[in-house]
Amino acid sequence: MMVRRPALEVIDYIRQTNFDQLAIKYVIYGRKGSGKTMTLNHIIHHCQAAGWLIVHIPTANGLNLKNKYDFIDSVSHEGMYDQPTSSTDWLKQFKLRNERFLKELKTTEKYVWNKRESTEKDQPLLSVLEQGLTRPKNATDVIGVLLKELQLQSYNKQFKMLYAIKAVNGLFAEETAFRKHGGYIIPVRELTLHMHFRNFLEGDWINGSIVTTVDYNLSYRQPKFYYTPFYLLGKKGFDHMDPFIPVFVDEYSDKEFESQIAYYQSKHWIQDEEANTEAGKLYLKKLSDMNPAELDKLVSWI
Amino acid sequence: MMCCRMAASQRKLQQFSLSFWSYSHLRYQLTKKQVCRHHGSLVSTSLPDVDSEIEKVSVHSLRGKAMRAMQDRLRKRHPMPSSRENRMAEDQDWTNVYPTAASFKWSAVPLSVRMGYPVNRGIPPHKLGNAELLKIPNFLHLTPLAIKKHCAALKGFCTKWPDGLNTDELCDEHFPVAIETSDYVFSSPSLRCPKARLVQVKLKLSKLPLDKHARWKLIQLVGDLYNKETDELCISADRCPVKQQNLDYAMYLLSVLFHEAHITEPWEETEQTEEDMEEYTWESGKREENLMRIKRRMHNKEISSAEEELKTAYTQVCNNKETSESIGSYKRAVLNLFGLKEPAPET
Repeated sequence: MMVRRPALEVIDYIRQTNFDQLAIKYVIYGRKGSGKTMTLNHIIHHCQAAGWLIVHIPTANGLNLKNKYDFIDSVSHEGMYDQPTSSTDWLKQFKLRNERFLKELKTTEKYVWNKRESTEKDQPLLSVLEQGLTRPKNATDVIGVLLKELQLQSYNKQFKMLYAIKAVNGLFAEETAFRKHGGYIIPVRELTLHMHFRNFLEGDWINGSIVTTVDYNLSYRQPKFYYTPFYLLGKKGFDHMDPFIPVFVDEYSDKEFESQIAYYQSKHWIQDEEANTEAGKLYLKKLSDMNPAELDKLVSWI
Repeated sequence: MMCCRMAASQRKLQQFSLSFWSYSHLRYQLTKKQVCRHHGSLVSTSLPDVDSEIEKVSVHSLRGKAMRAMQDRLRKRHPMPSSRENRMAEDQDWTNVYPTAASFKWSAVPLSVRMGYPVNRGIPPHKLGNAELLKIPNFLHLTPLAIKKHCAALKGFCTKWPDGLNTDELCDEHFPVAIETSDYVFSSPSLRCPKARLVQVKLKLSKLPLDKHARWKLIQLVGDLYNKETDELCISADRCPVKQQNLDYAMYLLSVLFHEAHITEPWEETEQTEEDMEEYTWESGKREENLMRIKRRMHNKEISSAEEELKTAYTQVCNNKETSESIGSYKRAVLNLFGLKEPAPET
């Protein structure tokens, strides 16, 4: 498996980081198929192996599009909407990843969910999470509570935390695919789930890092002209994230291309004999224009 | 008498065209007749398809017989004349063939042009009676020779070009306001053309004595009239019936805009939001707040130089088109701020 330069760069920054500071934000950007997501995955893997707590949004833009009939009037925020299904799905994967931390960390105050149910102070955070799984109506609020607790408790320096988001431009988008009866399209600013994730993204916590990618292909009803961070985040998003460290993911270099082809050959993924010759390699190079995803598509049928 | 003659010549013309079209379709009919019944011309033309018209009338009726007889007679009497394009001399004066703008005339243009939808995956129809060629504008009257002649004819009416205005820059400097009007000459019952009243006043904003506030206010007041690329303000007026009135109105508008731009209203200072500003600045918005939060965590550390660098890099990225250089300088500034070191470039 080839871990490419941008991933190593960010991992290097994370190693250098003074964790007394507020969490540093990284924005990974690049053309379509250049390996932004793989870079993010490598970083997540590094932090997971180092025993960090991982707060991961698989695609922020997907939250605006998937489960489009999944919205209810918010329990806690007047005039906003909760997303029970998306929230419970997110909680499930969060629990799978971080169960060990959730058992150790305790709540700092009492949370009242409804008339009968509440979570007392000094209970493990896992009980808060279980509340979200058993009562999907509270799931979005549970995410808010969890993120708030993590933010507060990061100052105790008991755990290190990685906040990883793919296609973070989805959090600062305008439109969603959620349409109410009567035609009202719910904007992103009225979704509580996004609000909680955005607030956590402000980075008002320590002992961790925030790694995000921006993706022009994963945007909804936006003109797709550039892949650059300011264009994709927009004014609002840029101000929210500022200051961040932009990390560019380029296409393969010659060396990377060679080693990737060698990897495909070692796995007998390229079967065609002509493709294994020098001329064949050159052909693949020109056809894919050194783009990792394009190369992957090309070699999938030869 | 005159009327009679004209009618006669018209009839002759009709006969000509009739005979021409009947000949041109003769071969086609002979070959295809047995296969299918043909209802119209394959080539899209505006001329009537005489043959199929005649064919529709019964052979046994008096009218059908008369029409066929007339067709035969016409064929015998008037053999096809050679078209004009074949009779043209090679060294003729083209400006006499197309003296003014005119629609395409196949007989006057000795070129084998084809245009139109290729029926049955064939080739586009030829130019003879081709209506597609009539629809498009042509520049057959605007040959270099015609333009030369035109200029030579106009030369007698021109005055000498003033000294000291040899370049466009000099012209712009001495005459910053350009006024564009048009005169139309044509023969019709009325000499007045409604388009002649339109007046356009153009000038570069950099030529006006405006401070930063006044310039931005003027741009916001005029909206679409200002072209950011060329820095040009273009006021066009056509609301009054006479050209002079429109010109007066445009100049009045210009002076009003100029003076209005210099006025600073009290609400401009208090109610201006970030969207109203021309460019992003560090001070407006929550950048300062973000940075303060970070600074509070790194107590006793000197980061003022990194802060200045970040501010310039920020305005660079936000106000200009994003390039790898501007993003790179922003990245370096943030790395400095957090005290991180960039890895050495790949060897």
